[in-house]
Amino acid sequence: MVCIAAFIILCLMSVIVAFLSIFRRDIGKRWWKTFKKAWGCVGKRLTLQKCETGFKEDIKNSILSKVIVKKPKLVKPISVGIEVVAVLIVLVTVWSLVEGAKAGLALWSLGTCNVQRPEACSLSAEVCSIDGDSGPKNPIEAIGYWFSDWGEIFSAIPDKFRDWDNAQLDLRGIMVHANVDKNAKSAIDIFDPGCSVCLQSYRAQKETGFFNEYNVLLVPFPIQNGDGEFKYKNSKMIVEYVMASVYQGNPETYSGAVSPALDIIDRIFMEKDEDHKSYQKLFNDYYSAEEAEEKIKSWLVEFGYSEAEVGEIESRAKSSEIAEIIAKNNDIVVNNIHAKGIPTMIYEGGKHTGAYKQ
Amino acid sequence: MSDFDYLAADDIYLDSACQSLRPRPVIDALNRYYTEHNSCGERVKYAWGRKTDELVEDTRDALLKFLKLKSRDYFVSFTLNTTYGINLLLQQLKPGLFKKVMTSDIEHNSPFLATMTFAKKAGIPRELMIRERDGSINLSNYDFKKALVVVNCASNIDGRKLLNLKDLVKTVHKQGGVIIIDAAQAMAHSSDILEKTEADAICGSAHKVYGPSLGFMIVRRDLLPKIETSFIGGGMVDDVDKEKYQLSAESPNHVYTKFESGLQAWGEIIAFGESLKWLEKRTKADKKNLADCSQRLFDFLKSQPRVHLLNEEANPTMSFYIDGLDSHMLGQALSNEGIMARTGYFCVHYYLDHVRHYPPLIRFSFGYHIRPSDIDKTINVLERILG
Repeated sequence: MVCIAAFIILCLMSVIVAFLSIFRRDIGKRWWKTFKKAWGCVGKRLTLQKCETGFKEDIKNSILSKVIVKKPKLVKPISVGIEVVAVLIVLVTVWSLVEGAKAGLALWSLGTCNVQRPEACSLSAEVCSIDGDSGPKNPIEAIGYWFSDWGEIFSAIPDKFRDWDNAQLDLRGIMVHANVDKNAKSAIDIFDPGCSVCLQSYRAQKETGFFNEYNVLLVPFPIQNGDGEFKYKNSKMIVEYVMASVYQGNPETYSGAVSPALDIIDRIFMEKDEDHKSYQKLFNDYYSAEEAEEKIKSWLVEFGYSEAEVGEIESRAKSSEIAEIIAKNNDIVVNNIHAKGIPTMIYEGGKHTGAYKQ
Repeated sequence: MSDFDYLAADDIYLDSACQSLRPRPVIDALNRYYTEHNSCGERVKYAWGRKTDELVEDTRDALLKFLKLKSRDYFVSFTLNTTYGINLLLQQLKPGLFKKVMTSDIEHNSPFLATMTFAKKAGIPRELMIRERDGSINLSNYDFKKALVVVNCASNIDGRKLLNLKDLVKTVHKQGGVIIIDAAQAMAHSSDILEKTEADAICGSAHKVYGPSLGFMIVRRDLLPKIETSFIGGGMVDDVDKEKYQLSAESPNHVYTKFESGLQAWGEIIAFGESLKWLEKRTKADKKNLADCSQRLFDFLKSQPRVHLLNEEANPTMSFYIDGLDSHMLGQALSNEGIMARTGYFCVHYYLDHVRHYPPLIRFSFGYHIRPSDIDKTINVLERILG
């Protein structure tokens, strides 16, 4: 065990000395001599040859040789201590390597290095994460979560090799353009009206002409945490109204031109009130549920709908039909697309997580 | 001892089996060469060169005299060390002359490995002889017919001597074999075993005999027909034509050039002569001090239950290990106390590791520089370690 621990320490020290050598060649030269011997020994052992003294012995001996003459009785406990520390180093390192591999694999397959709390991963693109539940409450649960994370990671790996076909996903949403250009490539953009990263992404998409380049289907998705709560308190209501607006009249004939859905999204992401507060922020932090709903309804009137039509949209928004559409969308996003955070976009046959960048 | 006046009181050097400390006269002789007559030997006519040649010749004579050997039977060549000397011989002995090559189990890697490569090159078997606890070889167990035998006459583990060396030499010669002696460990304190030997060659190292870093070969003149020169260069020839040459060694007075290719370490050779003179001057008191120090440490180590001493009897070279303690660690601990001792397998991997399965060992080896206070301190430190 000391041997593996020594190998790990040797690796770490080699990196440190290599770095140090850049600034202090004399120190580097001295240490490299020791390391060359140690690495030579590692090489011999890997090829099943004998090595009389290696780095392991050198480390242990240099410590014990200092105490054996003065305190010979301490040699045994210190020796045991070194072995224990070595075991800990190995365990921690193995655990770190496994965690590192897990994080790397998760980052590659799911787009985040933290499966349970995607937002907490600083290596991934900035997203509004679709978090799991409140997390483990005891070590046994933690082990269960650890294994379920691996399950999620492995189940998402095929996605990396998948040629995404938007038509097959069968998502419902808002077509950005009323008259779809049959020659343009299709794109799906999953967003939450309350998500600030989605706001940034939407603005970038507009600015760079993403919506003109692709036939974009905007899929509103109110992020729901593992505990059942919605991440942004008014998102669910907004999504219901948006989807109800899309599906007013004959669902087969809906289009951005006749639907106020795009106008609602556009206003939330792009506009501010008279106090220069972003509507997204107002919906997230200031409006109560009632105020938020009234605001949406007032916008619908503003967009040219009569009171009766607004009432119709309202009742549709609260209908089981819309609830089912949203639920179906959510199921596809979570279980088919394996989105761990949004915005998630699908275009050019690939899945892209995080704010849109040209 | 005043000849080791440079040795500080707290420096305890116990690694003479690797190389002995050099007494002042030896260091002075080397310095004299560099400061008073630095010159190429064997090839110049100026005064410094003649002086160098004269002193080098003195060393050759002194070495034969040291072992009571006659110059009409033997000559001395100088080389790098014992290992180099053995290899020079084995690489140039005509392989077709031998039916097998033999060595013993307690050999230093120097003959142990060289006999391996010889056997491979000659396509003949290699046989390992078992050394008895007293160092001798039971001759009746082996057939030496047309055998090349390479053995040490004193072990670098515990100093045990090849007590029946003379009988071995006689037996080998009687059966048409050739015997080469590794004298590296015997020369300093057990040279009596080699006196008047009739072995075909003796290889040793000056640096284990209080001399500078240098090797020597004492070779029987009648071995030369069995040598096929293949390691050759400057200093070895009297004439060179386009495709042929005339070896200087063909002349009886320059036969030593057979193994001396290129420029030699003249200063070291001369200083080696001084070390032999110095060694012959050791008094009974010097020898008694060495024996007493060896005996005291032997008695101490033997009395410690945790100490596994390999020696059967006191010797200036003693090897041991301590139960439960890594010898390399102990070596470092001793070094922290100013005690310099060798740890490991001392180039005897086969016997110590693979035959006896010992853990790495500690070796204390003394020279005439040893002081009773060194033994006091060593025992004191070991007592503290052993608790």
